[in-house]
Amino acid sequence: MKSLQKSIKQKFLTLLVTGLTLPMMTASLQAAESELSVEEIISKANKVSYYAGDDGRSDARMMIVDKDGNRQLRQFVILRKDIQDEGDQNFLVVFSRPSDVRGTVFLVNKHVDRDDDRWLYLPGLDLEKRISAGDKRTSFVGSDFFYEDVSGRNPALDTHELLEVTDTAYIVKNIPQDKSNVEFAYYIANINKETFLPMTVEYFNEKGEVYRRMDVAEVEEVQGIPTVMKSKISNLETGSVTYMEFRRPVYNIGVPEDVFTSRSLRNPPREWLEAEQE
Amino acid sequence: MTNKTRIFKWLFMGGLLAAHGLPASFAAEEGDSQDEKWGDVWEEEWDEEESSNWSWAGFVEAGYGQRLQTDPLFENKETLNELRGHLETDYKGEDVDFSFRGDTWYDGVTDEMELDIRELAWSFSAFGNTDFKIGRQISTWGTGDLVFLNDLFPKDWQSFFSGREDTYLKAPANSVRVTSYFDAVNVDLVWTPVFEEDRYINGERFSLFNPIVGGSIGGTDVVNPVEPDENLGNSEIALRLYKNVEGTEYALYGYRGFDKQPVGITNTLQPTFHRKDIFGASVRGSIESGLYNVEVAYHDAVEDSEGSDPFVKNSQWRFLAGYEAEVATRLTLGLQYYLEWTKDYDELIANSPFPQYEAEEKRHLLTTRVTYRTAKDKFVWSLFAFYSPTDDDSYLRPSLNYRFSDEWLFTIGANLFNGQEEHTFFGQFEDASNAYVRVRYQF
Repeated sequence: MKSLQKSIKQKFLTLLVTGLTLPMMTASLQAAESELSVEEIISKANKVSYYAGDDGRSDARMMIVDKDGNRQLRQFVILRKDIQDEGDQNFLVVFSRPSDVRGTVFLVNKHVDRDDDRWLYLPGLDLEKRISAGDKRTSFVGSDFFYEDVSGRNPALDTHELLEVTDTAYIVKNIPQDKSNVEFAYYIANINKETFLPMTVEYFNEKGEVYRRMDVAEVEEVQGIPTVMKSKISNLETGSVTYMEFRRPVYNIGVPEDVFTSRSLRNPPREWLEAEQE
Repeated sequence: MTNKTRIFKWLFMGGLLAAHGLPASFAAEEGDSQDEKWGDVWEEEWDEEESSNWSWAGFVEAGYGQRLQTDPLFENKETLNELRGHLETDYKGEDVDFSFRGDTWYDGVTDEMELDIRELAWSFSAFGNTDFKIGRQISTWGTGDLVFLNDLFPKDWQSFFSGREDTYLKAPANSVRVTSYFDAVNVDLVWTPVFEEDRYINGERFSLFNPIVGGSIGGTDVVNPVEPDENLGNSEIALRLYKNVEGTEYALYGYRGFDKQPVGITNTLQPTFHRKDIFGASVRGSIESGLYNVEVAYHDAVEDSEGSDPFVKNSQWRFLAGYEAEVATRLTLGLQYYLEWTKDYDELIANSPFPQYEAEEKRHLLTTRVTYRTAKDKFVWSLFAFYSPTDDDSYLRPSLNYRFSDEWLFTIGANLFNGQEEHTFFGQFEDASNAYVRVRYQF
């Protein structure tokens, strides 16, 4: 743990140094903004949403609230490492609550040029269950989030159209290239001009009605990186809402690539999963 | 956390763990004023499991099931009637972890109180690349879905047939597991010093076919096998070498031990477990957004290499091929083809006292698993079906799970056996066909 602390301190130092040059860069960025193509906007949005830093960890929890107000909770730690920005990356999700998913581990080796490799470890059976790559737009552990909301949707699967540029946001329409394996006709993202974080995303059905909606409620700067701390997904058809909250996120901790292998299913790497206690 | 769960937690903690000097601040509460912006959604504190070295959970479950027909060997139609408590606790130490999983239940079918420790183990890592787990534990490997070629770890068929949760199909054993991770290949070794047999169908809950009688026997535990002597030479060793290459998982397996069920007969005509060695291999990967698996195993009957001894089950080749994919939104379909190819079949038939009851040389089995989840997994509909064209018998496992809340879970299901003949693998259990319901409160 000592070496971890040290490396985090080092990373903070580097960030402080680079932080000094940031204002100049921001100024030149703003000038170029209007000239950004829609592909560049989507690429930046993808990058800040799913590829912040080279790696990261965070506590996370979800509150699932149905239309009658009944609540369910999921609590987990999420660990990520990028192989390449906007390219392949790895996720490890370790659940602690509720008790029927306690000890369950979800491992994703995400690939851009082929199907992701995904495993679920079920501790009661000592079973390394492989999950087929197809079912990405299904519920993530019983919530309104889809697997794809957690690990990111490949931008190349959609065509993009810049509908509008407001003072604060780019409004981008995204149409799936292959409609057969998604439930939406298209979705419209409201992407913040400064951070490039999508602040709302609305999913439309064939009739042009919004049936699903993602809202970001809170963004914080973590090590200089704008980070979504609270978001929610509303299913407008069922009246169900899932709130997601992150806590104690940290970037660039130097987690090695071999953490994202089958060893972590049976023996989750506490060195990387546990947050520094304040 | 609801008040109810908290009370439950404290009752259990107080009762079971007070002796271990657990700190009273275990469930330290932490306010989070920022959450108010979001209404009262996050009024609950984060569950600070990691702030304590101890963590724990459990459930209480009631289950009831009964035969859908009568079995003349049983007066009672009940196949499941129990109130079960399950507790799990983990201690994460600086160097060594401790884990416990245990069940205690009143079994109304046998009218007995039962205790089953499913895990009581110490885990630690050494040499940077090796994980040790020592003690009572559950082990699983192989690629089959409810079909086992290279997984010779103990299984509990009584639980499986009577409608307990699928988890209970795996039974624990007292083992030492050592897993080493290398660049070239990972090495997984499970050593079970004292042979641990399956919890097979023994007549106590369900009757079974007996060739000597030429019919079903049961009503009480009617199988009293001769077990292997408890010495180190009779310990079980299971080895797996495995590697993931670009998402394709390759594995080689070896096993040295015994048949897990008493399918052999001693010279004094008692059922027994004969020596068995197994060599096998498997491949699992993704193709066309689905998953395929192929597995093969050679089961070597060490004590009957000619296949002529009628008291020893012959050597077999076993082969499995499977494919699973999401065929529609939240609808998953899995298919498997499984083959048991008995070696020296002519010898077997020539020497068998009951050739009419022997399975065919090539026993084919097809399985299918259909799973449909409603949005947010509130309901999970599932049907697993085994069908053997050579035995002309089948086993259907329909079930419906309803997740009412994080605390309350409901399950209904059935185990439906069908066969044209009384002696076949599934056909012998026709009178065991049952339906069940389970209600679980977890905390």
